[in-house]
Amino acid sequence: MSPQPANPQPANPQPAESRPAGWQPGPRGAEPLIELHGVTAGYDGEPALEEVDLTVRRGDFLAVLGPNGGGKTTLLKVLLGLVEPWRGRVVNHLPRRRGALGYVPQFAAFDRHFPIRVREVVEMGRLGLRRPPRRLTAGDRAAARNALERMGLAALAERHIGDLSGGQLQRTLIARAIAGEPEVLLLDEPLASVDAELRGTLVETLEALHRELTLVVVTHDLTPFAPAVRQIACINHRLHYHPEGKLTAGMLEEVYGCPVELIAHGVPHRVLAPHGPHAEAGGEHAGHGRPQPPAGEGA
Amino acid sequence: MELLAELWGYDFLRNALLASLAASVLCGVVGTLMVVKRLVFLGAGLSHAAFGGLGFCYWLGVEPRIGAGLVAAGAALLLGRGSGRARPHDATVGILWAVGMAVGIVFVYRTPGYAPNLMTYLFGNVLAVSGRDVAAISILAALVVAALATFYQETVAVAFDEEFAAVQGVRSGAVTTAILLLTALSVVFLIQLVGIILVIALLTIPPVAALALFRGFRAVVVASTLFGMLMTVGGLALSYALDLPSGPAMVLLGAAGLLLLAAWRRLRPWPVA
Repeated sequence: MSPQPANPQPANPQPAESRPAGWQPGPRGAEPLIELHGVTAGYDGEPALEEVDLTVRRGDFLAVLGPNGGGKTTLLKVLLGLVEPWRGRVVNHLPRRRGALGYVPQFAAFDRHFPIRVREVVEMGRLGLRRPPRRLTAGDRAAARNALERMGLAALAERHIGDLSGGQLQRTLIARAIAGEPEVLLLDEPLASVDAELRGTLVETLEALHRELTLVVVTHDLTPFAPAVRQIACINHRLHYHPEGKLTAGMLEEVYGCPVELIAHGVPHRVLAPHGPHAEAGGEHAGHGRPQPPAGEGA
Repeated sequence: MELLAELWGYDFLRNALLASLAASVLCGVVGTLMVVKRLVFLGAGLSHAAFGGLGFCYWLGVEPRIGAGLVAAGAALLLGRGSGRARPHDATVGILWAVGMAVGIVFVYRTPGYAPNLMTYLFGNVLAVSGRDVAAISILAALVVAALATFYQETVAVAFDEEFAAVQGVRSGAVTTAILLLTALSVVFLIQLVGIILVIALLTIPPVAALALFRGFRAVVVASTLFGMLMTVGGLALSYALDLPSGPAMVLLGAAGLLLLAAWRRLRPWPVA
């Protein structure tokens, strides 16, 4: 799906017959993998998430959509266990092994000049399966090679990561995550540093992965994922979940605090009406009646 | 070569040579981690903060390096604590740096009599290295290599991408603290060779040269060790031949080498500005 679809409402789920064979479209009764119950979390005394309830079920392709500063990354970190909620519960039904949750961070997470080869980056995805000091086995290297092949990177295995294009680097990070044989893959803004013409290819890659994995994609721009996602959660401190993968103008208005055009071809959202005071404050507003972090707990 | 043979004939020169070789291993391992993890400013801060402990022990009449080691390790733990990340605020490092120097100078000033050895601590004197010092720095070098060999995967994972390493269950905070502690210890031992003011050159020039030439982490560590050897042993020979102070001779030789390397090959500066 290289160019943006002309269909004004591509956020609608695809017709069932176009879905991969053998795949069950995550009925609401599908096995829950991670559940958040009333989760409030944040940094430095400022909540980024409030009272969030969310269930990731097996077979989901969930897009978490929201403005910058709206708590998307915090939600991801709560799911990953990197951020402890101030209140509420996280119930993880995944097998108790690291790597069951595959993580694909944003590019900014590391230095592209670091002296490391593509193969070595992908092998890091196996660390969670080994006990300290986590020496890698021949099996680990084979699994990493397999992940590289699946992402079409076999020829680049010995390249330095600094020599990769944005799309290749993104595939490397996905290969690293799937090398650990995850059941759920969490991706943070996977298209942010990818050229527009390669976005479609990457979304196709994700669709292919979705045949085996549960996917959670955090993005500020739903458009490229629209044909692929099955569920949408909109987040701006509070979460609005739509299990049918259907986005309505009302939902977006609630999240962005202003009426927005549903699809704006590559622009996150186009403002159709002047922003109200609520919207202007965006993700930063201090707010009143916000829950405070429990005493003695920092960020 | 004959110069080296001549150097080997003297006890103090032999000690200087062995200390330089062991120090080069620290350049290779600790220096590379410092440079890729961007802890260079922190390392410089630690070496200057260590002067506080050094001056205090000097005043007490105790072995100054004990004080330097304790202060550097304490400062490293302080900066590595809390966030679990190796990016303490610049300003905190700057304050530790200045306060450490001030404390050291006050105690040295308060110490009765002339302070002839002080220049040694500021600018180093590899020729003053004793056999015991050689043993100590060799043990540290062996420890550092053993630690890296054992925890190689985890160390590289944390240095490259702390967050992903944490998701994999690697104790990023512990690894970072270990890196900071080894940095502190290395700084204290390297002070003897090139002094507080020049120590950072020994921990940065060899890794930067290695990073310009090699793409894999292991290769960078090995090359950086070899460059460190060239720099320290060559500097020693240079200081002997031209009657120059050893510390500056090493630093200037290293800098000249880096310039040549840059000219020979368009150097990719590290970290990229």
